[in-house]
Amino acid sequence: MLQTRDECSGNTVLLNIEDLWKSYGETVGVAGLFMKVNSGSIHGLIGPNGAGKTTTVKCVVGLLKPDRGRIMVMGMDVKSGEGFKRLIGYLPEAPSLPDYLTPREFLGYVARIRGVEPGEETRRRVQEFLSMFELNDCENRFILELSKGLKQRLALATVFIHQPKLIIMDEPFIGLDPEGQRLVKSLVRDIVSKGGAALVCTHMLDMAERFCTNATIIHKGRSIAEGSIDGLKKIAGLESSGTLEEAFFRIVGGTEGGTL
Amino acid sequence: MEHSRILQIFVFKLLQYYGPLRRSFSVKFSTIVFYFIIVFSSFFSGFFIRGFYGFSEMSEKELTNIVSITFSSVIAMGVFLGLKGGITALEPEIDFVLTSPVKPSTYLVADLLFQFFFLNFAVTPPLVSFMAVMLHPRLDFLPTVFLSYEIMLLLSSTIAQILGVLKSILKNVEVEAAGWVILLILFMPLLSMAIGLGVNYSDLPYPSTLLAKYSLDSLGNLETSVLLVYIVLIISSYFAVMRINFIPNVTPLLTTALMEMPSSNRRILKWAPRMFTQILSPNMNEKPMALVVKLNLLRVLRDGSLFTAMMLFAIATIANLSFPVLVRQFRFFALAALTFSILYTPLIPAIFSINWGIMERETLWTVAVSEKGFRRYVKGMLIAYFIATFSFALIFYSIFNILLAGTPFLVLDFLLLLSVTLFSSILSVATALVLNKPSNALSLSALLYVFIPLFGAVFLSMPTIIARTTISIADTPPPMIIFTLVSYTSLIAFLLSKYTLAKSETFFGRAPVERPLTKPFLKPQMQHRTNYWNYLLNFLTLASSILMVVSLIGFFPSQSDWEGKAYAPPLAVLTSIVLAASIFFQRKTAKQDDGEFLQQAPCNVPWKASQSLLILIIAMFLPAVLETPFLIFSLSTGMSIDNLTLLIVGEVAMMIPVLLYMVGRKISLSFLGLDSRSAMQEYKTALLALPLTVLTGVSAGMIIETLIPVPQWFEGLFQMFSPSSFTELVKLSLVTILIVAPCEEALFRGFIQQGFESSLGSRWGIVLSSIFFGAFHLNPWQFLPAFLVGIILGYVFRKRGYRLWCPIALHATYNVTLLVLNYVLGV
Repeated sequence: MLQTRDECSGNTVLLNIEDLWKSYGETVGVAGLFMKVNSGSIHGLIGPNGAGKTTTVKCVVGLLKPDRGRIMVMGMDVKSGEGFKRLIGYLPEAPSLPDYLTPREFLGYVARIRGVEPGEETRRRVQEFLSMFELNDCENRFILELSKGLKQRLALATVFIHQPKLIIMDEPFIGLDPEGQRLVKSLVRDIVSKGGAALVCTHMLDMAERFCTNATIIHKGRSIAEGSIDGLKKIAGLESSGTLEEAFFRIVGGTEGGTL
Repeated sequence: MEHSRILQIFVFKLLQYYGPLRRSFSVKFSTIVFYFIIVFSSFFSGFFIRGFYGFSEMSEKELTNIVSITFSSVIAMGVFLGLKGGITALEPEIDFVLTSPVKPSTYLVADLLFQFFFLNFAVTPPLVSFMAVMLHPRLDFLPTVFLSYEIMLLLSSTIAQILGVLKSILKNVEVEAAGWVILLILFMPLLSMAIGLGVNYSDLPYPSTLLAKYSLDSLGNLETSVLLVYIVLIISSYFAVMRINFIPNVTPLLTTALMEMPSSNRRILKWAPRMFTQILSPNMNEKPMALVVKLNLLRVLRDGSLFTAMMLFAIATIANLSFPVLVRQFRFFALAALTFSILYTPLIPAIFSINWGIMERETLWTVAVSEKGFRRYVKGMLIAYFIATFSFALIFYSIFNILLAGTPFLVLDFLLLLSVTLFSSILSVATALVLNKPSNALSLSALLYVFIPLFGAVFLSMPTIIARTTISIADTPPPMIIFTLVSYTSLIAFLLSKYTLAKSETFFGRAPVERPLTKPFLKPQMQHRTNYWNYLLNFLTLASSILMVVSLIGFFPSQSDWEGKAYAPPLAVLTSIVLAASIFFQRKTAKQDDGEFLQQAPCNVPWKASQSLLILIIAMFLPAVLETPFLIFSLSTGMSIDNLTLLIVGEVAMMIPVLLYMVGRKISLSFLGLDSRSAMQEYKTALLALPLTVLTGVSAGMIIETLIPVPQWFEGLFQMFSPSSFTELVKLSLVTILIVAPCEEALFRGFIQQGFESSLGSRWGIVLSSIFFGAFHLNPWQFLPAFLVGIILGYVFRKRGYRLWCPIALHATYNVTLLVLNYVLGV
């Protein structure tokens, strides 16, 4: 794997994946993936369709069991217990929500099962996030009746409601309007500035370039380059005026003729 | 042009629904299994009901009643589908077909065809076999009943579409009200029978009754015209409906068939649950556990699961309560009927689980990424299912108790309700966790979600059921019995819930895609080329040598049978020539196989004990299913069926599930152990083991017959398979050698014993498969001999490197020896 010099070596590693393997029958999802996410960074996981981004993320949050490899979240082994789950916020690629609940009920429910203090604290946070994500108008309608964008906002609200340290989001900005995107970005930056970190899967490279500080490029289940955005450009032999997109194509194309 | 479009859409729908892409092998396999079980059980419920009526001819009124109940339920099905949307659109169709420039009428006709096919596939074989039993001995009515039934199905799909289209363009509430009124009218006579008013279908001018009368050839002139008016009315309204220009608001009916999704414009269903909703509304002070329970209760209330479950449950219960009236066993049975209705309670949690599998399962990421989230969720689900099922079933029975005018609800009834509710709730949750997502709400895979809780709960509640139906203790059970039953129930429930919670731990670990078995398994030591010539030689050697010995019987001077004297010499000559020839050729090929004999490899087959057990159960069912047409034929025509035909059909049917399973999973058939190498050595071993086998079998048979005297009817049954003449002896021997022995050995040794051995080790493998081999004969007099002989066969099978030739030879010679003994001694 191509690696840039670790510029923020003083920071702690919040997520460390070593030699992750996962296959579905004959199809290989992830084949020997290594990556590190440091505190204080917004880490992009970028790669073409079918590269293994979603599989990796699902292994991290415990929705899939890896065939091989080790995943450490804040020093805790994912296999050895569920304690780490209190510290993560997760948004799946296509979140489906319980249709029969109202946004208010759902947010309260998620807050409680993720360990927010009962009573006033939960009520306050639910209210806060409902108004923050502009869900006040529909807080008492069934989720079934919400539009896709509103559902995405609600799903995003559940990511932040318990104040996690590590945010893991799979294609978070699909179906979200610019205002919502700005809100999510500011929430993420807020957590990162307090020593947390975020892992964002995406194949929208221009967004990744502006939003992320670091990135790992994966291709066919393997990580092929990791580092800061500028570092990746350097690896690809580009000036800092070059784009991440160019760097991506050079790096992916360098290993073999991959296309996005 | 339009016709080809209709056909295209129809084929697309078929491929979508039944196509190869949707299902894994195990789902397809269990589909076939359950299909057979459904056919089989409807057949037997027919027999059960006939048991009450008596097997002589039924009166015209009774027949009309039964047939019109069946027809009415077919219409009810149509109305139900209509209320749910009526158009069986699958999700991809809504996005692609309905947005394409296909005329709505074209699409509707294609959908009608699909519904007709779908309903036929699902309900025709069970219903027709049920009808055949009910009509017996007037089977000459069967063609017209079948024809009318098909007309009924078509009308029912038509009604479904009419209601569906009306619902999509008119206001929901009006169409729904109309639908419910129709349903109520349809079930009114059944309800009146249940509460003892005694209005019969045959008195009323329902279309189903009239059609039933038509099919039974008892339709009056006036009634004919009324029936015609009905049909013309339905068809003309269908044509009116077809003229619409576009179909708005189509929902994926097959997915949401068992749900009523909440929506703001559905007030009719909203007011009732609102009361509960207010109690259940999650408040922010709750402990997570209480919250999860509340959420699950809210789910079954709001997504309509509880409502649908209650409807189906009510219909099942009404049908059950009207049963005593229908079969003319009045009040006496009312109490028992109530008791048995309790056994339908598992329908409620089963439907919760189907809807959980279809919708809720996708939303579990929220709980899965919380600490201890999913385990707590499953616990909450268990509690919620129990609360919902128990309280609603209790309310329901109280209502019925009042309607039945005071039949007492006994302590044991309560206990039975409690245990059935408890077991079925836990089993429903476990089923949902273990099985794959049902492909849709009306699929056969969803039926598994009903079967497991239903039969599981009934089976586990057996002690309570027995106590309840034992008249001497039902009214005032001794405290000791109550105590025992309560502790039994709580122990089993505790163990089951432990199991379910353990399943919750591995729920998310699984890969979402099942591991495909693309590479065929090959048994390593058998990868040489198959030589079909050798199969022929092996069988020829075996058959000719045994038949040669049999032909010697004809030479006995004491033989009184003229056939023996006439046929024995030519048979002896023929068999000795064949034997000599086949031994000669065997010698030639046997040399090539030298050196790779008998590797004592451990048993290593790609199936396990559970598969063996499943296949065994089907293999025991299937012969009965396939033989019944023959039996009905012989019963109705008075012609006796050749016992050889029955024997062959039964034995071959037994092998079908094994072959289907192995071919479906692409497992090489060589795993069964029937390889194509020379079998001479095997036959020698069999010859050595023969005396021991015969001695064991015969003496065990004698011991058991002295212990339990053989009843008359059984002897008669056995007589069917003992030869009365020399030709029959030869025929039976031939069938034994070429069909019975290979089939039974391939099943019990090749498949079942190897499956058990690979899971449980050799000793248990042999013993268990022998027990099943004994039990397979379904009577105590053959059990012990078959069990002991089975052990010998199993041992020999293992010792000869899991090759079948030796056990086949041994089995065949043993059976033929018995036949010869029967023939010579006349026993």
